Amino acid sequence: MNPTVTISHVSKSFGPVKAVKDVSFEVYPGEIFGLLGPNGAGKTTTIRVMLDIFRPDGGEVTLFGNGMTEAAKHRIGYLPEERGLYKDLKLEPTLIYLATLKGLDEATARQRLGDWLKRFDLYDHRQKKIQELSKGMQQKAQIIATLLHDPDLIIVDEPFAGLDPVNTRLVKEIIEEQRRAGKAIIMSTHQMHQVEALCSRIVLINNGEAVLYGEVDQIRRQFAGNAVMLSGQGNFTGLPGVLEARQQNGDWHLALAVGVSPQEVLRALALRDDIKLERFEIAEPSLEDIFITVVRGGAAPGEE
Amino acid sequence: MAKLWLVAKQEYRRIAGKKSFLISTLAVPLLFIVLMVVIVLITIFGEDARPVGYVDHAGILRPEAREALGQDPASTVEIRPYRDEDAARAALEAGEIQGYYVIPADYLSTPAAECVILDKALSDRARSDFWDFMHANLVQQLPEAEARRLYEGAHLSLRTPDGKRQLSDTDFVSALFPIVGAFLFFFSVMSVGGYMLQAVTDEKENRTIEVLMTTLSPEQLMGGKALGLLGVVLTQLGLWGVTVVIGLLVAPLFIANFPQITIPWNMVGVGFLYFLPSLALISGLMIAIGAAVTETRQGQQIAGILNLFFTFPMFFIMVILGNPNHPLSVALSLFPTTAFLTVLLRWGFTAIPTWQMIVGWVLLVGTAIVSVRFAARVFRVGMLQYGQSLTFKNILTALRQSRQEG
Repeated sequence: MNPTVTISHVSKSFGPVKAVKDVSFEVYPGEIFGLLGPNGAGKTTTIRVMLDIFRPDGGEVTLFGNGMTEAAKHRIGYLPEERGLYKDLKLEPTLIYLATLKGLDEATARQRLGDWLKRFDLYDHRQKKIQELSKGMQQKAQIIATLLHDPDLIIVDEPFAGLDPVNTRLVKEIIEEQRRAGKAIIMSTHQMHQVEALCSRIVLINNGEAVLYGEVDQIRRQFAGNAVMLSGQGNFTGLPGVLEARQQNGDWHLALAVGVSPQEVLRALALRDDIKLERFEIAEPSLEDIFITVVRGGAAPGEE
Repeated sequence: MAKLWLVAKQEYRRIAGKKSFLISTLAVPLLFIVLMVVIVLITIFGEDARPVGYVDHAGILRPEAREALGQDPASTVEIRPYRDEDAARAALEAGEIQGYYVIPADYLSTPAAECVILDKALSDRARSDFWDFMHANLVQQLPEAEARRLYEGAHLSLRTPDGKRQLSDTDFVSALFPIVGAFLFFFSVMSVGGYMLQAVTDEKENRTIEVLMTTLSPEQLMGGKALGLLGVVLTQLGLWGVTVVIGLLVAPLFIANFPQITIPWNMVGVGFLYFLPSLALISGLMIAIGAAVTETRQGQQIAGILNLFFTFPMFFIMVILGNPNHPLSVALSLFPTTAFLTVLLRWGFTAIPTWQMIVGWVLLVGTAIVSVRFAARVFRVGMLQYGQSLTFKNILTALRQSRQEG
């Protein structure tokens, strides 16, 4: 299967700042691909280079087998992190205008829009000015603008921001539905549980470099042993070699630094009089653990 | 191209659909119509149309003097002769006449006449018509050709050496036309500039630009907006123009001797020649300002200063109209931001040398091209810096980088 997107050794600098350094990855039809990284890591710059908003200093971007063309632009749906719509205009004409810019004729856009508005419970608000809608409604309208022209490549940056649990579930369903329809989806988010639930492959960018790339399950296996789960009494924070300690459903989940084994942590706990340990087990690391280990500890797979 | 039109259509609808636009567009013609109606009503009902009388002790006035010189008395206030002052006084008190003149017996040696009225002065028209009547009588002793020549007075006409353009003192409306045209052209360019600034800052404030830039090139986006905004301004000017044309057609029906207007088509042609590059110049500058600032108000403050460079000729309008070949007038005709307005203002009062037109136009077009390119580069960088103004250093860096990329 040919990839929808190929990013090959892309670099981009702004003056002395190297925002993206030699990043490469591929995204295929029918997959949800996670584009992860801490704030300021270079994710948005990578997306903008991919969309030809910025020209790369080096490397190559291929979309649908070619460079960026007018036809390719019509096949892309983009929900940027910094989003907005024309606040002083009405919802329906604004969404139709954006869809016609993507090559859809007005009649088809109007017909499809009705279904989307109903699905997102915005149909009764279609003649309202956008500034009269709540933040959540505006977010849903923006998602409709991303999908209305039925794009083959969907890039969503923090798609769940501002949504309540009901609408979060709805958006998740729609993303999954688009994947099943064979669309290539790139999702950038800090909500790691959503990445775990939806993405099959990820790339993790840190300081402009791709530090992790591959299938989620494989990456988790690579990082096995880098987290422990325990229960007991006392304060389990501030242990040597532990990057982060957080409580989950009464248990403690510890993300370990690079080179620190669970046995070392167990020995440290045994020496503490203020702690009573009831259970200790090696945990399969979550993506969040891996994210923290890599970003804080500077590890790459194989280094642990 | 299709996207350019889509953006233009959207921009046109967005601005022209606003209540504030409809009000400001319709207010001017409405005001004009109200003004015309008031003038017509004053003309019909306000002016005293009763005859004016005279008592001629000098024996020099003949009632038919004006007919002899080709004047039609029916189009003027009636002038009635009275035998003596008692008869004239009685007619005045009876309200038959608005006043009367007494021409003394020695009028030809001491030309002074007395005007008798009750409590209200003679109407301007009655006074003007009576003195016209006096002039006709005073020249009646001369041979007809000389009498007619003296009666009609001197008419000064200015003509360019090639004979293509002429200006006459009886054709003052035609002389005013270039000034009015200059302001209309200039108004449309400045309006598009103002709307453009608003459009760009709106995109930035609404944060719509990132989505649009995945669909449109900056040239398509800005070109479409400029077209749409031009349409908005032309709609406004068109409505106002139609009102003026109707006014000019209606006015002669109510105003006697309303001058005939000749449209200076060559000036209209020159106006269009300067119009597009001036539009591109100001649009480019406004786009750059809009992309560099964070909010509309900040942009308007900077644009206000920039607008001074375009409105500069207004401060020197007396110099330009009074001495259109003054070195300052010539300099302003050559400077890109002032060329458009200065050339149009000078047009009605001098024959602008061809070299000045060519040099001024070439400089304007060159500056406009630089302005549009500069705007496209600042736009690419500035529009994605949400909530941040571009510093001068950022702009220079952006220009350097885009040159390397370009």
